[in-house]
Amino acid sequence: MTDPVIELVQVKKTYTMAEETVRALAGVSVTIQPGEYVAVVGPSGSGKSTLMNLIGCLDRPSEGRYRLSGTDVSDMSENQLADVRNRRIGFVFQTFNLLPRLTAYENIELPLIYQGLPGGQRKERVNKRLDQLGLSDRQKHRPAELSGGQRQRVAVARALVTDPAILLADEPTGNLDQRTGQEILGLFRELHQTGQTIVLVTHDPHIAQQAERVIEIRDGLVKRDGAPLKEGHA
Amino acid sequence: MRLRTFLHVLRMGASSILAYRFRSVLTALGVAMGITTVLTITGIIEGLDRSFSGMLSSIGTGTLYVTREPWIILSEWWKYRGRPPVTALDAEQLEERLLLAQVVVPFAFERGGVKIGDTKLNGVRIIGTTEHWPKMSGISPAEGRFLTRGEVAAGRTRVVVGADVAASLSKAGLGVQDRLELNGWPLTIVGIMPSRGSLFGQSQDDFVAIPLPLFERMFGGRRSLSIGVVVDPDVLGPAQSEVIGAMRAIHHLEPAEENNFSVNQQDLLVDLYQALTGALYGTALGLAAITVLVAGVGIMNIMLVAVAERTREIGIRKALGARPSSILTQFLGEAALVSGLGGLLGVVLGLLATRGIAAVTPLPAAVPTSTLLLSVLFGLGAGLLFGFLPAWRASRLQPVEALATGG
Ligand SMILES: Nc1ncnc2c1ncn2[C@@H]1O[C@H](COP(=O)(O)OP(=O)(O)O)[C@@H](O)[C@H]1O
Ligand SMILES: [Mg+2]
Repeated sequence: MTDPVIELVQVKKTYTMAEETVRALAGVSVTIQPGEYVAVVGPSGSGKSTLMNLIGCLDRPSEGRYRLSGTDVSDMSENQLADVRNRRIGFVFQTFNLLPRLTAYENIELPLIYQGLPGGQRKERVNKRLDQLGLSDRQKHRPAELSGGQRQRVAVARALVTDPAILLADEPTGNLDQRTGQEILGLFRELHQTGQTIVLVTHDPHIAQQAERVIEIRDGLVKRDGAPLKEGHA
Repeated sequence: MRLRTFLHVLRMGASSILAYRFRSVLTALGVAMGITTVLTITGIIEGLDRSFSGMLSSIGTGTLYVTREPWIILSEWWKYRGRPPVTALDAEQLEERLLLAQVVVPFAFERGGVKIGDTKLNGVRIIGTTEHWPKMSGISPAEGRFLTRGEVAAGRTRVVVGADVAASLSKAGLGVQDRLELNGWPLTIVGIMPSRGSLFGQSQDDFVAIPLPLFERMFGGRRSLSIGVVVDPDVLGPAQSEVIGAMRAIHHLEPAEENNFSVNQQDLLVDLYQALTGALYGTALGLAAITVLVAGVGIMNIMLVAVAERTREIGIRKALGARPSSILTQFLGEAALVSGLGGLLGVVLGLLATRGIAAVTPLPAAVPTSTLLLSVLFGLGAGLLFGFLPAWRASRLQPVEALATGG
């Protein structure tokens, strides 16, 4: 039996500010198997982004354990976490987070540079993703010269270029119009079909229904975890 | 960090310099100004050094100078008032007594007017001396000959002229064997000395040399002379003791009496020079420290602003797997490159400044090549040093917080 990709055990996260402490996650246990397409849903402020940051090793839990593909990352050093982010995680953000001075090609290449991959291999991998996402004729363009949908596709290409264990997307359609948003979600479904593990964070229950499993967060706790509830209109 | 990653990270740093031109130019200018200042001062000191070593070589390392007062009187000047003059007789007796002396050359200076045909030269240095003068000064006539022993002994009306005076001669169509008038005395030219160039902006060729007895007839015989004693530089110490002993005997001094003459050598001037330039070096160092500090604080500020402005970029890079060391290298590389370029600019400006000084002043200001190289390295180093804190901050940013920043 293979290890789960993600195994969160009683994970808590508190933010301590000047006077008060905010409990963003109050004890979350979640296990995600390879190939799953999971949506994390909940109202604003419920702790979704906090959860995504922990899963993405951008932050550490205050309490609890996190095993990523069987490896405990809770106590890893900065460098080890950087390498985990680089090799095992692919991020897609609401605001794209492309580097404005780099071309589409260079943005996609960046994770491979931090990996120290030789030029030939980088080129091969970047071109593969450019092709896959229909961006080949846009590779020399800077983000400012691309449409919102194209930017998000560049971001997805960048997230995938390292063949990560998890594709982590936080409100990936939040800055896109209806049609372009559907396009990106369609892309996610295709990726899921090819076996990619996807964790999609959204506040929108309609979008969450796209996934095969929905984890509903409320006040830092898992309120529901299971197949999407079928609604009358999807 | 892998070399490949390192090079890429450096290249990204370089491209940021272009993206943030204004900031980069400001930083570079700060460093450039610092380096220009330091280089200009270095150039001036080097110019002084060159002039000074020129002067030293004209004094000669192997010559002791016997005079009534010391060359350099820093205090108690009244002690020297009652001393007897140093005379030609002293020189004769020294010549007899000294075993270590190669040659003994009495001489004296005055200023006077030279008339060549219709041309009058004023303020020409007149040297009254003996046939041995060339051995002390290290130059011998380019044309004709120097004064002979006979001419000196008899105080004959003969003259050897320096290159500047010779230039006026040839303009008048005159040369060796022709005559000139010195303070109204008609003298026959027997030789022309080669050019020695100028020192501290003063020509060293603006002189005439005549027999010492003639000089004393012209200007009076009661003056105190200088006596040059040329020795092997290896025995300078013993020779000095010998000269002092001989002079004490010649002046009939009792053992308890103090010397009533002085023996000078180049060292005295070297000491004085070092005392003077020491102060200058100190000032230069202080200035250098201040400019470096100002430039450094400038680099630091600008880099801190850069890091603050690019927090989101740093967050993105971290999310993509940049290690703290990669971020550190990127920002350090940026700082070093900008200030290195500033250093280069400073070198160019500093060179121009020293060239300018050398062109419009008598000081042969110049900057040694090693200093130029050092300056560029120094700029680089300043970038690394003062860029470190901002770069380190950037590398330590928490990815989540950095990503949450606008911009
Ligand atoms: N860096 C932080 N410092 C303090 N409080 C925070 C921080 N990040 C999130 N929070 C708080 O934690 C809770 C969960 O936030 P978040 O995970 O962003 O929710 P969501 O993404 O579901 O809107 C909120 O109350 C939020 O104010
Ligand atoms: Mg959120």
